[in-house]
Amino acid sequence: MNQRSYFRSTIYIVIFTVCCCIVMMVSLCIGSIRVPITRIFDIWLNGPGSPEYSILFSIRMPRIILGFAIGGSLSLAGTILQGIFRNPLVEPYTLGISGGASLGVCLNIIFKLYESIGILAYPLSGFLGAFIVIICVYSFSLKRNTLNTQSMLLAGVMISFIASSLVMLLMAISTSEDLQNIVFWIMGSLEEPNSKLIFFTVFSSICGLLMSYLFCSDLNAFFIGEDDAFHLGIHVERTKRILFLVASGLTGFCVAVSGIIGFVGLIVPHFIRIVVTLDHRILLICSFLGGAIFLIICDTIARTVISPLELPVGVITGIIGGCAFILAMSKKQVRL
Amino acid sequence: MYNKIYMAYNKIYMAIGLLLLCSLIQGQCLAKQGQTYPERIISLSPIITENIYLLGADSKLIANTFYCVLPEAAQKKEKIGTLIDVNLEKIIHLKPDLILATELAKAKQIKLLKKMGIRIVQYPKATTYDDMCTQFLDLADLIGKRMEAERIITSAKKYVLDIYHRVSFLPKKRIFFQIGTKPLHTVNNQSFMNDYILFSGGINIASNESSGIYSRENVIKNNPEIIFIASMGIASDKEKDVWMSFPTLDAAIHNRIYIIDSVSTCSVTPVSFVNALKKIAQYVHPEAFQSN
Repeated sequence: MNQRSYFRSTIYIVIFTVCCCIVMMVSLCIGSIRVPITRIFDIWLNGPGSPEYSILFSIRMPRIILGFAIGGSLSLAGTILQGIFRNPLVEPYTLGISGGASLGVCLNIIFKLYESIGILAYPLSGFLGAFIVIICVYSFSLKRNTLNTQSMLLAGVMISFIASSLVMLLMAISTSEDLQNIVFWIMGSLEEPNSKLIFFTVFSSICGLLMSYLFCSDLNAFFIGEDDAFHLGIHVERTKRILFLVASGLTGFCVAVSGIIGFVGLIVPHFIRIVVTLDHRILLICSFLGGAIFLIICDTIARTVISPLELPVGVITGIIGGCAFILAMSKKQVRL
Repeated sequence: MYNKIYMAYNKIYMAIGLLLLCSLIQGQCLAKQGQTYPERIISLSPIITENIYLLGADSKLIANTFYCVLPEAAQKKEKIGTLIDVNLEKIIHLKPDLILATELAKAKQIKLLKKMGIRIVQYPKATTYDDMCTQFLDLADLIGKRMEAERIITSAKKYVLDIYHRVSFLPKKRIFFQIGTKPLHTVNNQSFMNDYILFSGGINIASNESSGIYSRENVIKNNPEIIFIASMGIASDKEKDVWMSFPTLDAAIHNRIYIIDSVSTCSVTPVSFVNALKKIAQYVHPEAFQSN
């Protein structure tokens, strides 16, 4: 990279980081109870006890932190998968991970496992379902020690269909209370009372980002095709496997904790590619921060637009994300 | 020496006596402390809201859900969401000391509120009318209205018994109670609505089913004499037409298919249950109420 592009990429990363901090601060102030930004420091200093402290630091702050982690993870997973498959329609849920997680949580709700294990049964069953799907997709696509990307996509889509049909079957035979529970989980939500789970999600998202950076040049090389990348000296098979596991693992954790929040992993990477760069060395971090910003904004809108009622955050990500993306695409000639 | 032993025993008796006195006083203090009842209550269910108004404790109710529309005064209270999804920020801002919810409330939200130290009591679905009355009395205990509650329950149970005595010696009618369509939903013996059928002198053909989902074929096979359909807008009229089209169905032959208002039968307090029961019993055994 020459001096000018080095400078340009640093500027982008700084801009995204600053935007992220601003969005987090603004989101902290907005809600059914408006708190002016100048009072936040005072409320924090006065410590727990006031209802404002509880609202800001026990309800809004965990949501914002979780939004940061999940938005970042989903966006990063989408970038990685779009890089490996070189297919613009690929997103974290295409590989059937959301279907597997939904099936896991459905079974947990119907068989009332949460009564014996507690509320942790939800993320555990979600992750178990996602993990089983990841293993299935991985093993179906492993032919003579090579990971065939075409068969991975097909296997993922098929498993996704099977899982959604099984979920619909379980919904048809469930009682109305269980049905409500299932539907609400599928709609996705950033509310999470367990602070350890939130910390774990943040930790795994940062680990995923660091791990993906070890392969940022490899992802750039994948752009010209697997055979050409191989001739450039990239360990194609090893890279594909590790990146697939990183992306699927990130997605699995996100879906297990927050349910299914769609469109973040599809829209944000494309948007960053149009606005910033195709170079994965900058794309990965900008995607992560862009996804975090996007999800925090959508969550803030979802909880304020028809206050005191809340919309599911997936509704807002779909509408805003889709519209913003079409606008960006129509303004610039882009090669995806 | 005997003096010393005597004095020692005296001291022991005094100590025991003092201890007993202290525990008695402490007991009284605790009893007096236990009598502080919640002053700021939030209700997360229309039935709980109605119950609070019934007990005359509505001045302590600071907020309820969008669906709490009965009695009319409840519509003017602060709204904090629905039965299943509430606005946590608003609830915390209102500083309640008691939240009354059903088991439909989101587990994560309940956990978050409990973490804040707010007292939450959740009531499961009532399986019988007796269960409903017990929950009503528990609620009254929580808010310090036990006497009013006992008075209301005694009076309501008296009416229920009166209705039952009018019909208990009459031949039991086979009844099908439909509360949903697509899929067809009825009530089994795990719902308090089964008591409508029992107390009005009927037999619920779906009593022993494990879930409320029932098949139309099973209804035809069991051939009920009366079908009740809870109102569902146009869907209930369509359902009535469907049932009337079966030529072998007893209820269709004798034109005993009735559409009843779903709100006043499905969402009831111990008192409104009696009104709903009276209407249903009059459909089932009109001959027992002709003297009125």
